[in-house]
Amino acid sequence: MTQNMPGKGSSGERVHWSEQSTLRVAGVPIQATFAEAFDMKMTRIIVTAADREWCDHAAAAMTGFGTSVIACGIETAVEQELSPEETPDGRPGVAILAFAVSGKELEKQIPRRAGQCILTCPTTALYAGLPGDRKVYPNRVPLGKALRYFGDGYQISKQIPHTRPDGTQETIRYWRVPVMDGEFVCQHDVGRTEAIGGGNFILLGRSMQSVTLACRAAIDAIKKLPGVITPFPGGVTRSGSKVGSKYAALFASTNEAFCPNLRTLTETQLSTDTKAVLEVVLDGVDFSSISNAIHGGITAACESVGTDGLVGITAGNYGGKLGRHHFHLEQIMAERS
Amino acid sequence: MMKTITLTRNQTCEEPIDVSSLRLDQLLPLSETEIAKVRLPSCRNVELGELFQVESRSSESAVPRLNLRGDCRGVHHLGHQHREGAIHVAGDIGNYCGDCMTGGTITVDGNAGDHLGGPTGTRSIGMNGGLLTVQGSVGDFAGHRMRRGEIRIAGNAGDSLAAWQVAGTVIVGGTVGRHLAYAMRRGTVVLGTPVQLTANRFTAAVEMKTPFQHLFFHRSDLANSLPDSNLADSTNTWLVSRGDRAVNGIGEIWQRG
Repeated sequence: MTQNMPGKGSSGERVHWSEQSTLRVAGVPIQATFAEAFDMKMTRIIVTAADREWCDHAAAAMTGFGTSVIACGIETAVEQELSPEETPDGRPGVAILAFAVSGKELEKQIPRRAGQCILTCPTTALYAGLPGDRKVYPNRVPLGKALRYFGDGYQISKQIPHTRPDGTQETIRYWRVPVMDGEFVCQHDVGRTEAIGGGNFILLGRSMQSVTLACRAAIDAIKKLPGVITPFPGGVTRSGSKVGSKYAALFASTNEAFCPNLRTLTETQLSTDTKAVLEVVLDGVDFSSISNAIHGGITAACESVGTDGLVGITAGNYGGKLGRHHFHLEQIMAERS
Repeated sequence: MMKTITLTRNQTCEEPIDVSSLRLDQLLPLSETEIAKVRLPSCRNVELGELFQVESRSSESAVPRLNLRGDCRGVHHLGHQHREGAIHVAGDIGNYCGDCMTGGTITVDGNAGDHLGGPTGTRSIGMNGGLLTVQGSVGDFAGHRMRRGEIRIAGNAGDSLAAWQVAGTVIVGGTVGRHLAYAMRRGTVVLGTPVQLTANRFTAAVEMKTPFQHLFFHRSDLANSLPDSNLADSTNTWLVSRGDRAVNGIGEIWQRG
């Protein structure tokens, strides 16, 4: 990733950008750089169950091994918990967002995961989280369309007419697949749409403990926001990567410029008082949702530990050459303050 | 803005009318005068204006509408192959209402005759989509050979309800006649009033366990269609029987436990 390189002070020693930064949140310097993000395909599904515990088990399985498209196929996580009043069948639920680099990959991964993680979990049901038929979302990701065959001929298709608020009729097709606890109810398919993946910000910590606290505060703030997920474990990754590797088989490898242990060996981006670095990676339904999450996350992180815990906050980019969505930190923090 | 066409039956005209050639989507481009001149070839080739007062206007409705007013008990085959828009009958309607319809909605405020949503002529498929609602009672063979869509009957249904049903859903708030779901293969019949099913044709009832009940019953428009049935009461226990086993059918009959 390309970052602003450390400048030189009057005495000739290298000066880290954090000492010269004019933008600060709770005293923590924010680098005037940008996060670079990419076009992705996205869908949203709703999982419900008889109680919150089964629902959470299903969601954990469905979103497991969904951290990065580098090897997982999709990036996926729970967007928000839904109360019974917010779900189609009046039971506790979660909304899950899933992102992939291509529609084809999304169409492959979602039914595969749903079949092994939702269908298998007691009492669950699966619905489309993007309301709208083919007229609204022409591209569709199969749900019950693929999973119905588990019913071995005993499955039942039901098309239920609903009256929209404008008075027009919409027909939604459900599949009812007999299973050992009753029926697995599953909507036929769900739309997919364009979205953005790879928004990020990087927290430079004075200790592992302080950067952990800052990240947890950031993730807690982002969790409340709609339309965005942080797919890595706990919403955070320690293995921020650069493009390419000395090994031909790998197309991503460790970002040595942010590794504290290599500070004296490589061209580093870290000041001497930076002891640990963590990155928050964001996928969102649109530019605005990611911008809001970056703002909310950075604000919460800085306010939680201040300058005692953080040396500064920066973002990862590739010089603007690879992704067309650029999230300029100073602009986002200024506009939303 | 959508067009709303209103046909009011001339009180002096009592002869039965076959309106199977009347299609809402084909009437929409026509002016009021042109609609009045539309001929009904299956009914001694009379013009529509001789049988109905015709009114056509633009309205705020989201879908095109055809309204029927007056005594329409002798109007048969209304909504034949109806596929788009809303048809509303202010009173009773004759036989074969909604026969072979594939989409849209038909709402009858009063009673309907025989063969509601059934097939006509040599066709082997009856209603094949859309929503057909009758606030009153219906005659025999409602939902005959139904393949898709939903029929809601707030009152009672006659004999042979959902006979030879292939798929789709029929909901009846009141009582049903003999030969219920005869030779039904798939599909669903929901009964507000319990019946004794023939043991050799339908399985013993088992309690339904499915979140689909909530999806099905908690629709605001369903409560409006069947206001007195209490079908959507969340305390209801539903029992389901499968059949008609005489034809290896696996259709469903839901009854309140």
